[in-house]
Amino acid sequence: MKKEELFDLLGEIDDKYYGEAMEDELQEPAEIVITEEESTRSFPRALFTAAACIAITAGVCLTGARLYDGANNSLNDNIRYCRDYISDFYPNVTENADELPYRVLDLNFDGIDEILLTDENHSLMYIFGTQGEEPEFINIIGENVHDPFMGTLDGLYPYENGEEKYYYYFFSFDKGADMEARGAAAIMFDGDNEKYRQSYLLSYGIISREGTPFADVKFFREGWHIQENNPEMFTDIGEEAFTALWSKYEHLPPINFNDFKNNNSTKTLTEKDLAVCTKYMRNLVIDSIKAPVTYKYYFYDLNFDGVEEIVFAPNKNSNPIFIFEKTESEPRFVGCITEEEIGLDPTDQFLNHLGLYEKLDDLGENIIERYYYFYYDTYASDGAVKAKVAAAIKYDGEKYYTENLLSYGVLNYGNVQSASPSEACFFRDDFNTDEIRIDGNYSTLEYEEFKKLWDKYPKLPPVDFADISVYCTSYEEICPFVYEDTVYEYNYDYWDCVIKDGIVTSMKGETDWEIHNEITGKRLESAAAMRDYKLLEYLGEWVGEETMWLGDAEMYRYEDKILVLCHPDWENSINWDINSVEADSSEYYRAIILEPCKGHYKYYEPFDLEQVPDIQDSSKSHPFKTNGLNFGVNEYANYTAMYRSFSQVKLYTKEVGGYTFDLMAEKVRTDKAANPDMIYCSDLYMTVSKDGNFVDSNISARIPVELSDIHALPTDKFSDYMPQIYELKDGIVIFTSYEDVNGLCSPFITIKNDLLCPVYGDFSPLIDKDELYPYIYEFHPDIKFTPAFEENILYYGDTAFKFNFDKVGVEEETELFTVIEP
Amino acid sequence: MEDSKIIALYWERNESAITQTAEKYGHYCTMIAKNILHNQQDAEECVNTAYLKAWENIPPEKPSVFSAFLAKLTRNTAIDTYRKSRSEKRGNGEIPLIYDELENLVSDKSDPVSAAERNEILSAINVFLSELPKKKRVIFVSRYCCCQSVKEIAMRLGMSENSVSVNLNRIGKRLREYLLKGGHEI
Repeated sequence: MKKEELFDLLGEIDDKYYGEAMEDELQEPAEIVITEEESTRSFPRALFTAAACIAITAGVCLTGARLYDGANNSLNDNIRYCRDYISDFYPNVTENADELPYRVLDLNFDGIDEILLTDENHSLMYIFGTQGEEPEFINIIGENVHDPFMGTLDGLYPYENGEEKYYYYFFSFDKGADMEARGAAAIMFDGDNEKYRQSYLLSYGIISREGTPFADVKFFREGWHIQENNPEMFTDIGEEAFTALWSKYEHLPPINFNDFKNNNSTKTLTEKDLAVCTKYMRNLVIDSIKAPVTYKYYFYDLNFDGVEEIVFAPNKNSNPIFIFEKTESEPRFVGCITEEEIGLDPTDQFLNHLGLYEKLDDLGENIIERYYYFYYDTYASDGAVKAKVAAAIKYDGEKYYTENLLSYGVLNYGNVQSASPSEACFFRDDFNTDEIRIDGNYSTLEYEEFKKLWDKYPKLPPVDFADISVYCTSYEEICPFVYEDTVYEYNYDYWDCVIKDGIVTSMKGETDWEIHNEITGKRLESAAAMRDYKLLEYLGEWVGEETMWLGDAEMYRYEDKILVLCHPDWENSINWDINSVEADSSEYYRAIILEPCKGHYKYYEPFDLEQVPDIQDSSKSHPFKTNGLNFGVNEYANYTAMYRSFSQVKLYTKEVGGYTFDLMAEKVRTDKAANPDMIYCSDLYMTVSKDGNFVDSNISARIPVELSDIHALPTDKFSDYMPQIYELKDGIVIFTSYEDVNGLCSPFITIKNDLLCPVYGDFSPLIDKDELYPYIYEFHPDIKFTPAFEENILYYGDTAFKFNFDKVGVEEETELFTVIEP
Repeated sequence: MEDSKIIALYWERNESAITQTAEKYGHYCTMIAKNILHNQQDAEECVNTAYLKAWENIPPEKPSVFSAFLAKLTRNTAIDTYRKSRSEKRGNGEIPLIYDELENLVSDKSDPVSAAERNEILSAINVFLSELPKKKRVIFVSRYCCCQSVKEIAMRLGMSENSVSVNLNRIGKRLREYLLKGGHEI
């Protein structure tokens, strides 16, 4: 396929992705106040959007806005009248009526516009009619609920369904800084009283109490048990989602939000409730059960008797589930499910989710099965995740118990082998015969998917996960590392990780897949191990006395601490919780002039082609080439110490202007049976040192032929991959190659008076990439220049690039070279 | 005006459909065209052509996502314009850069891809996108479908340009791996 074809193809992706990507672009500014000066008879789009986190497109917001062509007075005069009226009659409700934004629209669908003014919180609405000579005050809405509503009125949307017509809007209910709920309400016209009223339609998005998982977002109409768990909704609900919910539950009466809040308050746990529970758990001794040190709690009607239970679920491993019933006075302990009863291994861990499962009968009328379920992960002894399990909390009339329902998601972590690491599998009865792939993300199995699987295989008993490891084959070659009597295992598998006493303590490597983040977030219990320099040294590579590279992070030894300089954008993906000095993002970038570190440059053994591991060496236990060359080099390359020793190799050295440029290759392999004159490596770059001191290790080599993700180099032409070097009168220009996402280009570095100045690359923000784009192509690595020594010029054809070495090392300069067209 | 009402205007052959479209989506379409053509005047002409195409296509079409429908029309029109004028010196705009980025993902074989295979690849790309985290998907689609510059994407998403570039690079590689694993020769 040609790139143009792929580009065309990408233009035909599903519409929804276009919409998603461009939704920001379609938003209107969030400003809502329209001043009189800005208003005209054909006034612009008046949007009642506020600084809400909800994305609503301009098109939606515009709905209902119409031109004002009411009475003889101009619109400005009418708005003036309305504001004066409010100032006169509602001075205690609205302090400054002049600042009230307004909107003109036909609120009651009678063909005549009304004027609506709201307060700054958008919870108070004044409505005026426009039939007469001057606006006529009709009534005020929301006066009695003004205080609790610190929310936002995002827009007004017409709703029409037969005779039912009204404008509805969303609001937020905030308590302090936390949003507790969002809802939708309608402005309805009561024809009998000729007044407008507010009617609550639905509410959702509760509750951000301490300890309550944010994911527990629900949609409510009539009762607590009508719930739609959907975290996305909490922040992303728009017209479409609202309509879907509305259609689905239209037959149910709405909750009055005031009632809802009142109900909610009785159902809300107080600090006292929690204290009672905590105290009870601490004092409880049942067969050596220990109360959880940390926990999450949930507040659900577990047995569906109309009274909520408080469920304390283990936050860490080895904790039981405690259940209390909320009573009028104080919570009452009603049950405890030990980890043994749950079937947990000591290392198992809960995920923070309790979901309601309801199954209706064939007629879809009666609930025949109902319980709350939760997920937990099971781990192998080496810390690898074995599976994710769904289990139900059930009540048999006397006591609570758990029942494993299904498990899925084996086995892509750690040292557990599976046929295809990316496959997530669903298991119930028998691993070998009833294996069903899940088409979806292992880490985000949601209710619908769970329900689908569960409904599909209801008669199969669940797998006993304690023994699931028998289905897994462990790799044998994990490098042990003993430091201060603690055994660490450095697992080179799919993601590199360090396992200490069976617990994954750190990981490196790819960091931005969700599946990886899940492990990283969950299992990085402490970075204690990372603070051991010896271990760090083992994991990473000290490239100087004070600097080392470890995965994507740059680490500095800093007295008794380790300073980790992650790229600012990696903050979310690298979760090493190291007790470190906060890195100023500007520190990430080197100074303009790269000066050698005090430390010594790491010594590399001379390259010996004969010692390079061969991917088809049958004496090794791993069939490296089974899955192709790329797989052989990249995926299975590091299992033994021998292979690791070739993880970084110095291929070639060149001295320039007092600096030493070393061509470095990673994961060097041969495939002698296929091609004895080539080596393969996963990465190729250059390090620079001066007088044996390390300077930089991030300078691009000239990129050779790529085979997918690996490079192939002829063994006798390593010098071809060194930079092009041109010595000019006042300095030296070095063109390296740089594989940018925008293609192969060849930026340059300069040396003047022994000072090395990188001009373009990740580490040099001096010149914006955009400025260099026009020249990238001219500096393509295959291009040879003709130097004019005295003039400090490099010619490419008739075009001259004159290098201004006097600019080297000067901050804020942008003209290191001048292009002179013929 | 709601999309459904604008589309209704097209169906009624009411010329205010164009006005309404321009009012609501003019900026959006112009941005897409400008990213491709790098020229305001060309972009505006291109967007006008896209409106005309919308007028010609609705009816019989009844786009379910009007914004995406317009985006695709604009994109395709702009690309046609771009290709016609490409004989000149390597142009500005995003297309040369995007092509260079995409070059790493394809084999660049000259054999044309069959329509059936094309559809399969498109389906696979849609599945791949569906499995991406939303933010990454937005980055990818903004770049390669909506032709936004790395800088624009970075500004919009509050990221650094470098981070956007790195993300694009990684997602691109994964897309390639994904397609190859699915047996699609690209």
